[in-house]
Amino acid sequence: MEQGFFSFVLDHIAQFFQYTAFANMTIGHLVMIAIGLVFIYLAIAKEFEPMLLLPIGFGILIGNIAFVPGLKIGIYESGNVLNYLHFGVLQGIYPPLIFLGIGAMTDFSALISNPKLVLVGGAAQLGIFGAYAIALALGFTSSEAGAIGIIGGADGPTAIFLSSKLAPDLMGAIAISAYSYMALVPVIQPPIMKLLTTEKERTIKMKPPRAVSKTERIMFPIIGLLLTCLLVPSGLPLLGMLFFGNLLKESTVTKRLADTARGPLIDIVTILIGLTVGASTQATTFLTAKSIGIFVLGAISFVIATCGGVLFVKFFNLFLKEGNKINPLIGNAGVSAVPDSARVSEVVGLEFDKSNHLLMHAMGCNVAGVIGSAVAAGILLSFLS
Amino acid sequence: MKNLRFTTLAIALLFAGAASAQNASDLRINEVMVLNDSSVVDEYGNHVGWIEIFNTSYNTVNLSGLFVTDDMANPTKSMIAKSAAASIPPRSYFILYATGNKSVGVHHLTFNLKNSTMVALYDANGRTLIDSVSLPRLAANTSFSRETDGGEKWTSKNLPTPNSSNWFQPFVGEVDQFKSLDPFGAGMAMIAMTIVLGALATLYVCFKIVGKIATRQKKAKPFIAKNAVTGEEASNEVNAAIALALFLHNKQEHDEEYTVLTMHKVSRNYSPWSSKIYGLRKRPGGYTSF
Repeated sequence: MEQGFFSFVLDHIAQFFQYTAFANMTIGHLVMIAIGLVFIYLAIAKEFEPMLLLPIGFGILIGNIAFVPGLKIGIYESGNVLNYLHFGVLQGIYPPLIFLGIGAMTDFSALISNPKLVLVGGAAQLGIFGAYAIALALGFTSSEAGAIGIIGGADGPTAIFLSSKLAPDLMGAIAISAYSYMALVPVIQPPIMKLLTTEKERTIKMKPPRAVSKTERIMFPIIGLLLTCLLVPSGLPLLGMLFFGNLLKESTVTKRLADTARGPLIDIVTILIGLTVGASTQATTFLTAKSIGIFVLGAISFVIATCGGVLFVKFFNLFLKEGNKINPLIGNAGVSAVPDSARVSEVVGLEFDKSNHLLMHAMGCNVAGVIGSAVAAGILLSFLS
Repeated sequence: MKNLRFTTLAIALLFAGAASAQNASDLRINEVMVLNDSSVVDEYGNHVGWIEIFNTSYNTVNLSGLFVTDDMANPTKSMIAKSAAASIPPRSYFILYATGNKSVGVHHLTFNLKNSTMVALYDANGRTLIDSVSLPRLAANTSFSRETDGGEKWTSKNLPTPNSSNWFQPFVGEVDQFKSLDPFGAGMAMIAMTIVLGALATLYVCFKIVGKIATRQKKAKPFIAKNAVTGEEASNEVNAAIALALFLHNKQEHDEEYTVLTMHKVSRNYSPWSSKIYGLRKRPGGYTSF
């Protein structure tokens, strides 16, 4: 009787062990947990995009705790809360909400005061289509190549939105790649900027931006929406929300709504999108040759985008009078990555001239990049879906 | 007068005959299946060999009384039953099942195709050959058909198309088509960059105009004051002073320091819960005139 009881206890302990993550853990899970820990380290110790890398890093830990399938605890198993939260990513709900918040917190004055900077935001989208072409050459399908290419737009929500529509299977890798390289903007961009510019070009001083009237700031989101979305309606979910959020801010009569959009709402959605995107990177679906290809292509797209922005400014300067020229060091800010790429412009600019503050001008290119990448996403969506 | 009537009648009959012949001559044997195991079934649910006739004209043609045979020595081997149902609308198809039984319907022939090496369609007179085709040896469920409806070239195909166009093209999705036309992505890059830059250039032009109008109206001043030190003249000390001022502005608000006055704008957002309008009671009749 006594022996029977002990064997009963031991049997059930052994049975319980079979259900633990230790028994189901694979090398892949361990690798992913290590990646998650690196993300958390970068977020806390290095402060690389902590608002995103911390939830994503922790999400990776959550997503890679191995379990016995069928218990309704995995993000891909229906009937549990993670699966419901992931719905917002899969159906492209979160990214437009984030764009609403971005619109409500973005000041487009720098762009309005010097509208030619908007073209820099367009030129930097070259990274998207460069990566698209290379992805096609590597054997990805058109839809997959489009979803991978958008990493070059350096805009996390746009990358998630487009990949959820074009290549849902690759969304985790694309989102992680996009956010990783966005965090690494201060590392990736400066060498390229220095390589492509001369000493003289780096010290070009730009005119200070003029004051922008309230009327102009109110007109911007309305005209911006009509001009961009009439041309590319498929960009409506992102651009519509972006410009709506901006109108809430600039109208000044909906302060509470603007405060909610740029405060609690965007915070909540950022938590949910970061955590669920991280959790969606289960080793079984994430550690594939395709994911490695996506990371390589992501890096290439960032390089092409930065080159595109800087070289476009140099080209544009050929047509501008002396005194109106643009410092090519703000060309890198044409990729979205708000506001990191603009900060890079400022820092690199100050390296060569301590009195040359480029931040405001770079922010103009930066917000133009947000619009440009959303337009590019709309174009890819209309051609490839 | 009698001669005139006779001539008119003769011309009318001639034209009628010519018209009929012309209609029947627009018919073509379009597709033939000799051994049918899994292809189309007749109205009785049987798999039998079949012949598809195609009306190449833009008029309805009636097949009643025409003859179909697999033996040139016997052109009237099987007559198509006379019926209104034996009509083929313009550019349409009519299936004849080689059942081998007599009188089972307008769609059925009195011979089967198992040993046939050719099939032919004869006019109602049983002498005028409308169309014929020699059949190669065909595997089961393989048809012998014209490449295009009524076309000259014949081919064997594993995917028969009874009662539908012989021109078969596998479905290619728009995205696949896009990739096949633009395998390297250069076209996409050109199209998309043109659209992106076009959209943003429109925005640029628009706000260039808006900016000019606004500048003229308000004579807007730059952010920096006129007497401020410009970038070129700024020394390290000035930069340090600006940085310190910004730091103090962002990090310290002087709230706990004596002799420093800090002005905060107290915002009072409107809310119906705190509004006095809803808290005050009107005196009965106080503002009403009778």
